Parts: sequence; C-alpha cells; structure tokens
Amino acid sequence: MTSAQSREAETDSLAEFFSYAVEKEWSDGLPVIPPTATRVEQMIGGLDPDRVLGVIPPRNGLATVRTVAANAVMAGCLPEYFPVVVAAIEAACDPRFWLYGLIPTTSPGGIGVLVSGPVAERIGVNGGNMSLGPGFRANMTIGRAVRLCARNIGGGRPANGDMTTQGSPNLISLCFAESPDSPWPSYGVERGGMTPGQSSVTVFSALSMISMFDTVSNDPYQLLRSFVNALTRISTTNVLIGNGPFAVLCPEHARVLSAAGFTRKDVERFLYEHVRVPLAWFNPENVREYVRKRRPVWAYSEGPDARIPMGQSPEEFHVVVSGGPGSHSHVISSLSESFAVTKAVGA
Amino acid sequence: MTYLPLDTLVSPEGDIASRDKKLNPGLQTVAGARIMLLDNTKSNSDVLFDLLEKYLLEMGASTVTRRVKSTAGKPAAAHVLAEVRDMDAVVAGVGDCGSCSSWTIHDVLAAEGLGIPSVGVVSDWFKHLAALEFSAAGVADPASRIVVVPHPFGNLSDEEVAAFADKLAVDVITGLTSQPRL
Repeated sequence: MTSAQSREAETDSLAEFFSYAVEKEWSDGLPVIPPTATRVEQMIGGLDPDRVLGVIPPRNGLATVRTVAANAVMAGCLPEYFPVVVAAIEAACDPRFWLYGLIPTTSPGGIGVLVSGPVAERIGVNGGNMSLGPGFRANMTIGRAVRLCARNIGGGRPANGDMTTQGSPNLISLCFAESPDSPWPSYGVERGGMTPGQSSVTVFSALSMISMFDTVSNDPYQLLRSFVNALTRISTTNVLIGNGPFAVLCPEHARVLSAAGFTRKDVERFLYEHVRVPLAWFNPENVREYVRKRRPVWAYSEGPDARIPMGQSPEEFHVVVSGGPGSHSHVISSLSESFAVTKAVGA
Repeated sequence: MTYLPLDTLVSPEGDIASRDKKLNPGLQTVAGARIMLLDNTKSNSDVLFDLLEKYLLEMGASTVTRRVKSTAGKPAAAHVLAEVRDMDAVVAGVGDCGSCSSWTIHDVLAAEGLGIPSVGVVSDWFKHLAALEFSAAGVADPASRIVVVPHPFGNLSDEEVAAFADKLAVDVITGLTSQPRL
C-alpha cells in the first residue's frame, strides 16, 4: 500500500467511525475521533482509569477516568487537556451544580467551563480574542468533551434523557479562559477559593447570552448602566424562578471599572442591586404561578411598581474577564437551581 | 471494506452506578389507606390534586395529606419525607417539564426507598424520561407507577383538567395497587 493509499484508508476509517458513532448515538452530530484503547490510554496518562469522578444523571452513568477519557478522545482533546476535563467533570458532578435537573431540563442549559490559572496558557485555552469561540482547539474540545460525557455517560440524548425544547449552540461546547489582561485577581482565586498561581476549572449553567455593546462610556456608572440594561432584558427566567448571571466582561470594560476603583465584588454587588425587573413586566399568570411561588421573599411587593431582582444575593452574580480588544462583553443568564462550582486542576 | 477495529474501542457510555432500587408491593386497596399528595408547585397540580383528593376520599382512603414543595426543581424536603414514613402511599407531581419530571421521579424513588408504594404523575412528553430514570435506578418495569396526563398541562383551564381527572384517579389507584414484577 502506498502512503497515499494508506492515508486514504485512514480517512475512510474515520468517516466510517463517524457513521458508526451517529448510529450508536454517541456523536453530537459533528465528527468524532474513534476512542481506541491506545488513544484512551494516552489520554488517561498516569491517572487511575477506574477512579470514579462522579455519577452523571439521568442514566446514573459512572464517570470513571476511563469513560471520561473515551469521550475526551471522541471530542478531539489532546492528552494535555485531560486534567482540565477531569476537574470539569468533578465540578459538574457536585450536587450544587444540579446536573440531575440541568441535563433533562426543557431549558437550554449549557455547561459553561471557565479555566483559570497557569494551566490555561500552558495547554492553549484561549482567554483573548474570540475566547468564547470558535477557532481554538482546547476551548472547543474541552467544552465538547464535557457535553459528550453528559450525552453518553448521563444518557442525555434528544427527547430521551435531554428534553431541551429547542437546544442551543451553547450545548455543543462553551469553554474559555480568563483574560491575562484582567485588571482584577483571577476569578479562580477571588471566587473559587484557589491560591494565587493555582489552576482551576469553574462550571456554570449557561442559559441565554446577550452581547453588551458600549464603546463610549468612560464613566463607570454609565458603563454599569449599560450592563444593567442588558441583564434586565435577559433576566426574566432568573427573575421568575431565581439565580444570577455570569457576566463575561471584555478587558476594556473591566479596565474602565477598575480604574475608577471598582473591585470584582463591587461590580457584582452593583449589578445585584440595580438589575431589577418591574413586576408589571409579567402577566398575571406568571406572577401567580412563578414569582409568588418561586420568589416568595419578593412576592409580598405586589404593586406593579415592585421591582424583583435576579438572584437572592450579590454572591449569585459572577464577574469574569475574557476576550480581546474591543468593547463587547457578554452577559449569560443561568438555570435557577444550578450554582457555579470551582475545582482545582490536578488536585 | 472495514478499516476500523471496533473491538478495540472503549465505550464512551460505561457502566451504570447502581441499580439497587426496588418498588414496594402495591396496596391491596386504597380503602383505609393514608395517602400523601405531594404537589411540586407546577401550574394546575393543585387543581388536579384537589379533584384527586376528593376521588380518593370517596373510594374510602382514610386520610389524604397535602404537601407542597418549595420548588419543583429540588427534592422533597427532609421534613416531608419524615411524614412519608407514616403514609401508606404517595402520589407526586405534576412533572410537565424536564427538570420537574426528574425531581418527581426522584421523590417517588425516595418514598419507595422508605417502603411506601408511590406513583409519579408526568405529562405525556416526559413519560420516556421518567421510565429512563426508573430504569437507571434498577426498576425495569415501572409502567404502572408512572401516571400520565396530557401535554401541555400547565396552561389548561380548570374545566379541561376536570375532563380527565376521573381517568387520572383510576390510573393512580391502578398504580398504587399494582404489584411490581420482582
């Protein structure tokens, strides 16, 4: 067999495996790499293949290192990404993250994966230009590996274990790093409880995303007003049934706030205090069935001018800095019962 | 032509954690039984359970205890499960979305774990999810313990709910008196 023939045979074999994986319902619809014993072994490296990282519902599949590695291979991960995938699965299996609700829910609940600390640069998780994707192998394949674990280990397949009404591109892959140009200490340190220089992964539920465009505000309060406006628009699910957002600030926006003396915590508190949705925005059925039942603390403010917050506290707001030059940030709403969880990488 | 050695592939699905849950024998009859209706707060669950309560009392249930969860998105609280121990049967629901159906089945399995035969009420679109969750827990044949209402459910009028409430009540009693295959 010539080298060209051999290459063609290999390509045919990959195409054949893709068809097989679709038939077995292992694929998300995009091509996957065959999880051969050799590739899975390389992915696992020195870890114990039988170590159980967690149990993924609704199928209650055992997320062993070996099975997670098979999904990481299929997603296209390189072995050096694997400690991040492992930490992400451990974090996602923490009951606070609420996988038992997140995977079957009819809501479009993406699994956001934030990578903090030196591991990001070491393995190439992008926190700069186009960090939310596409275009970077580590970002795309780590996020996809986590999602394939939900599908294959957790049994989250369309109209079976995953009942998402419309789905969302967030359900393919959503993984990014913090910007090295952030004016604030890392999220992993300030919110995740890591020590400086320690690498971590944070998982968060990603419901809907909105781009926040403001190229002109140099006054921190005017810029925050733009964030408040953007969040108030997408906050309706969180206002109806609770929880706060992930705000992914671009470095330019973060610097305007930092230069005026705002810490991350100040921004989170400001957003909590100012993102308030008038009760009058909701029809009486939603007020009766959701706001009063699910947000009882606020339900006694029954006048139409009553203003209901996203979340119950500033701690339910998360500010992270990511992306390249330009004045575009994102705000991402969350699932009501799913709370962000941070785990150290390689611990 | 096959190039791929399928026998060397590592399954991306892996094993299931544990399949140790069993359903309890059903009631002989609802007559004389103490029954809890566990309302998950979803719209119309209260309307349906009002009608179900009336029916169960007419059929001779000794007591019908109504409890409402704080949210459809979480398991029943510990103090509610403590009360479940003093019941003869539990009806949980109504699951009419993915997460609230999951937590309905979670509550049913928790009550069964306490030795109390239970049924979960879900809307039609979620019956396969419910079956998957029973199966993941080790219950291969849960059919009679999943009781189905039409989907969509939450936006029906009281009259529309009343139209199938009698059938629902019969299905609930069938479920609670069914003897699972062991």
